Amino acid sequence: MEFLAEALPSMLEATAATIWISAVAVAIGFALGVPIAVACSAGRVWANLYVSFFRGVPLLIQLLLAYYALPFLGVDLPAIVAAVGTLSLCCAAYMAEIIRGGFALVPKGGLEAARLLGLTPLQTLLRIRLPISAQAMRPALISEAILIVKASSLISVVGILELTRSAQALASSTFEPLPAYALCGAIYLVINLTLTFLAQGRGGAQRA
Amino acid sequence: MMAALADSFLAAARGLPLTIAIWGAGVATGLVLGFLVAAIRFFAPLALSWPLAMAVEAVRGVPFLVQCFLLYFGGPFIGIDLSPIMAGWVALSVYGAAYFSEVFRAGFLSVPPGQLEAARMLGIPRHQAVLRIMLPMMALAVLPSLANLAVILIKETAILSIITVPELTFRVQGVGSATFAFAETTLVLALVYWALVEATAWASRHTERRIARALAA
Amino acid sequence: MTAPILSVRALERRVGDVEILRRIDLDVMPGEAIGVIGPSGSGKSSLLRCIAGLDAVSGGEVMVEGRRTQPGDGAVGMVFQHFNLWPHLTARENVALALRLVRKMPAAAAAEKAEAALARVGLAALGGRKPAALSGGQQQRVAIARTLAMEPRVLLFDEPTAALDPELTTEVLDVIRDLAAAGTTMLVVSHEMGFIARLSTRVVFLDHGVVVQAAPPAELFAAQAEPRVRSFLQTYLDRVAWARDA
Ligand SMILES: Nc1ncnc2c1ncn2[C@@H]1O[C@H](COP(=O)(O)OP(=O)(O)O)[C@@H](O)[C@H]1O
Ligand SMILES: [Mg+2]
Repeated sequence: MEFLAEALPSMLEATAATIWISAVAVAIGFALGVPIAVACSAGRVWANLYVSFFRGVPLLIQLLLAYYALPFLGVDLPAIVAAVGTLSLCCAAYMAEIIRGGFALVPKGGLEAARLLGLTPLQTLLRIRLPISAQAMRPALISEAILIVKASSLISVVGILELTRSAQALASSTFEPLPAYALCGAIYLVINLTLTFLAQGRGGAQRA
Repeated sequence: MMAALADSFLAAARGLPLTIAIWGAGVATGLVLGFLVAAIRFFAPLALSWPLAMAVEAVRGVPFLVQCFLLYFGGPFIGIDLSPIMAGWVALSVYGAAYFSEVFRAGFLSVPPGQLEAARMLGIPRHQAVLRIMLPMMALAVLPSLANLAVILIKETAILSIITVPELTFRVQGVGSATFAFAETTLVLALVYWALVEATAWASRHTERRIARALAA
Repeated sequence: MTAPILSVRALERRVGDVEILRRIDLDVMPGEAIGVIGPSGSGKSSLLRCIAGLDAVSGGEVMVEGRRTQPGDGAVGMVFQHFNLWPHLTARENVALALRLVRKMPAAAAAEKAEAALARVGLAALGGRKPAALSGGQQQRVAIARTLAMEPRVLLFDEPTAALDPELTTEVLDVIRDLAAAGTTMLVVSHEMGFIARLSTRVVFLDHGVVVQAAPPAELFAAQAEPRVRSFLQTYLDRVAWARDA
């Protein structure tokens, strides 16, 4: 109880940080994922390399690259921007794969009809392809959001104060790592179960 | 700079065996555990499967890093005092098992009931039907997902460096700390993992196709 | 007077408070071929599945040669609408598996018997193929061979051609007709009215889980049939008439 009283204020603050960081990364990741998906479908080499790199290299290493290698190249970003940026770029690679999978489900006839009616490619993308595939992509998007919430724990390594970093601080100040990390894990679980619940709840309602 | 790169590659070569060993061990244990969990959840009564379902949700909902911290730093307080390597192996196995179990469960569910009903009509005992009909039928369906997960777990092993498992990342970062050539060492790390993951993914796709062809013939 | 080989007594099946089968009585003599017809949802599949023991009964009983049946006891064999072949095994292995596991036959003897069963359905040459490499009609014939090889006392067919393209139904119906001609006792659910009329010794018409009429085909398909039977058959006649006009 005493532990909770000491831990809760800082942990709740850190929870807010984890949530907004994840939300930003998912939003940017999706926005970037759409053009990358289109480029991948069009067989663009850079897009496929992008996806292969960000899915092939552990996020931890990507973060270290942003932290160490960017300054080396003369790019000096605030740590939080570098961290959230890396998380977003990584997310975009996974989003691109999900969106590409969703696009594959859109019947060709619908796209041909749009073209014959004179819609521009951008209009077709935004008004036809995305809406048609959105429903099919939803479960994968929610899973990706959960993965990003979990992945955001890694930015603690480059010193950003979020849930995991906060739990580390708590563990070393109280000398009680077990409750500190258990509380931290429980909070992640609550966030992710909420996401799962939202996904299922809405999905169920729409199916019925 | 060239020296730092060379040192990093050397360190990578020294760390790679442990990365592969701990990954292989984690995948193997994870597959066995995951299969058991899925089988119990599928076949056993609700009282037994319900707690397992909760456990799987918990493992899948918590970052791997936090699980490592919980086990490695928290474990000693409840009598689980593991070396970094042992802790890494256990954590990877449990994390993998949770995901593998979901794939196996989906596999069990994907076998149409009709095929098992046919077996029942012919008098084939349940355990034989599971062994000879259900498992072979689901094998092909679960193989790609299992391979995919195994490849993802390679990347998770990098996180074990944070609990001081002397694998690839840990060794190469050691070069960074000694030479302050962090940019070079991190670049080498990225290249090595990228190659490792792409090679494993390619090998698994290749194997999958061969297995599929052998089974279809 | 011989005893019935299959007797269904006051059979009832309820799920929740839905009555799916209501007090069905049916005696089948050895060698009889019983056609079962009726609207969709009338309980035809349920009747067969209760006879097979796949669905639990809520009342009454099913006896084959005086014994209560259980799935897998060898008394009853069932052929399903969707074949339900095991896709990872060849046709021969599909037929031989139960012979080996249940009848404990050695592998060679089981394979030999499987070949004989496949030959009986006209597939002697295709035993080495997997289901995916067979047409729907061939798959259904493998499924029939798989059931035949276990030598059940009564064979049940649940819409065996409903999942097939029209041009593939004949080969399956021919096999069933040959089996009936050879004296196999069977119950056949089918919407192929012409086939049922020619095959059956008696036809059972089910509606809402009740046997509305059970009679030789000449009687049941006659103009003065029970009104519900007549209106059901009328939909088939309309379809034929429409096809002729078109
Ligand atoms: N397990 C079940 N639970 C609830 N209702 C069922 C179940 N099985 C069948 N039914 C219902 O029983 C009726 C008869 O089904 P069925 O025997 O499949 O009919 P048929 O084969 O004549 O089309 C249908 O209305 C069906 O919806
Ligand atoms: Mg039916």
